[in-house]
Amino acid sequence: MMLELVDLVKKFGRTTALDGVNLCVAPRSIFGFVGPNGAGKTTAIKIITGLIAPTSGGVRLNGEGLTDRTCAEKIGYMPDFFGVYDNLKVNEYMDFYAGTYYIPYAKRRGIIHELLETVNLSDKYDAYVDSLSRGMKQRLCLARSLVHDPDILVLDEPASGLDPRSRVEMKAVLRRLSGTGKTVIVSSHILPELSEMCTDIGVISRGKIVAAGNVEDILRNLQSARILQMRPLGEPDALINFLRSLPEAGEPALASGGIEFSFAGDDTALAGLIAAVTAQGIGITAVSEKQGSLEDVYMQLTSFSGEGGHADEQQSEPGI
Amino acid sequence: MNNNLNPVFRREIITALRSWRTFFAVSIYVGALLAIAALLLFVVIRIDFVHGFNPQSAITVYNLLSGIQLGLILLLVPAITAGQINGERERQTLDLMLVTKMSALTIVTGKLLSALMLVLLMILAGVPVFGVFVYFGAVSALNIMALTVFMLVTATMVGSVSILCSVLFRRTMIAYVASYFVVLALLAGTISAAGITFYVLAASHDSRMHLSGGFVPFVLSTQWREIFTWLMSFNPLAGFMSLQDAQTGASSLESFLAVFIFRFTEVRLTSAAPLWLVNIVINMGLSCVFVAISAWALKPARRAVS
Repeated sequence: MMLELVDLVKKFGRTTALDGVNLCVAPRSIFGFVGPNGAGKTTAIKIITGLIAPTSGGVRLNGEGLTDRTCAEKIGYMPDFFGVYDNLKVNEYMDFYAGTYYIPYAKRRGIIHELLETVNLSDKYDAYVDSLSRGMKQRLCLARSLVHDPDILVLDEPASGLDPRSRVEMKAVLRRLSGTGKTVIVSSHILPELSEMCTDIGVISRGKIVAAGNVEDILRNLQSARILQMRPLGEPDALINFLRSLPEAGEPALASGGIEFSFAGDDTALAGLIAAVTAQGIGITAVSEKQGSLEDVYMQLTSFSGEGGHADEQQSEPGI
Repeated sequence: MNNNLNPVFRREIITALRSWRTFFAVSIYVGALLAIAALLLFVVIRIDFVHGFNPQSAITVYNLLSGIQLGLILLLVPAITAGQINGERERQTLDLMLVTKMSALTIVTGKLLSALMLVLLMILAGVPVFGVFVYFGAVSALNIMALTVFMLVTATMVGSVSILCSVLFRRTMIAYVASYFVVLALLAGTISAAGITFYVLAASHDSRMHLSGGFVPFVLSTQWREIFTWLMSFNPLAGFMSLQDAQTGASSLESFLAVFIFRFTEVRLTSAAPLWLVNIVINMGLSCVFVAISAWALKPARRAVS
């Protein structure tokens, strides 16, 4: 299912949490929603899930405006908190949420078993929710959000506060889910995990989308120069001096993999560079191009994040 | 367990039945009710029995006991109900319910029923205690039934006010205070409003009141009696006293109003139906209105723009 955010604006009093957000999430993709604290991620997610109304703009699902009914049927939501009832057993907890979606009782038991198996909690069927570890509670919440078999799964910081093992388990479950044809929207700060997992990302900062699209495309477009590494045969001084004489090469520096420098040129220019180096009698044992990380892109795009932090922190609606 | 039950109510039943507190609270309540009834009956009947058994003694105990029950309802229901929605907010489970197929009305009614469950259980568990007074000839079984219905409806009305406060006020303490304020307004506010109206009317009717500094007999017009009756219809205490009067043949409500509010003045209420019955109907209507507003206020997201 194609999910679109169209000119989404959300204001809380004088604060603009979302400022004309346009975003398209392709069907069956794993979409990473990235941004600093207060950028507007949670506000956008709450609008998608129908918990708050936009000031203007809206959300479309397969080209049609989202209604309360389609929202409840098609979207599964897992917030960044557990939201569990401690005095219930795992199967009762799941049964309660199955009831909230009016799933016939005859089908519930099978669905609950299947979902608990999906999130590796089958052995906890009769356990009390408050006896579960943090990671298990998180996976139980994921199972809860899947109880009505939604087409789109929206996860707000699903790995926050989890230990490394729980994160790996959560990631594995999400991959498995995307394999079943669900569209998964994940907001997170843990960028290495997102870059491994997501097919697309949207970077949001100060309520605006600053980059969106395929992860590799974004990385490629945002890198103005290639970062190359050359490993010289013997002492590196000759290579460093030669690179300093080239206008298209940036300042070379010693790195663990050899000499690292930026290079403003295409593949033909790179081939010419290699030929020129060898023509100088400098032996080279390896040439490699360093891949930029999502983290680099994130830092570049949200470089003013220190001034941010204005939206999510103030998103609660006024109340006494 | 019935699977067509409101999911919220069903979940609450599971947890309530698992907890010893429910049984403990009901047992303590019924035990206390029995102890008070036994003590009062013993004292009153023993005093009166010198001159032979007087059913009026049992009526007095019945009135006292049912008054205690009403007082408990008015105190207990806001305490249990006003934190219901905020409890879900604090537990961070409200959003999880709002994104489901359940309507806000289902959530509100589920929470209200869950909160009232203990009180309803207490009221129903107290019915056999009141049954003792049928044995003594103080009241009939039908009277006990009417009293129970009155208590249930009053509890529901107070509960729905409290649930509305819980929806409107995000701070639990403010929700509690607001709930008790509304209950107080219904109890004392309606009487005060009636009293103020009376004095203003009486003063404009006869300026000698101001000159003498006292009060002169003043006969209320039919129109103003209707206003008083209308105001009293919202007052659970007035309804309760009217019910007691209807059951025991006394005129405690009008005496109460005449002595404490409209001093030295004869008061006659002009309701076509008994005031307690009007009170029940109004409380049922108010409950529906409060629940509807609560449901409307609970889910603010309206997707008008897309």
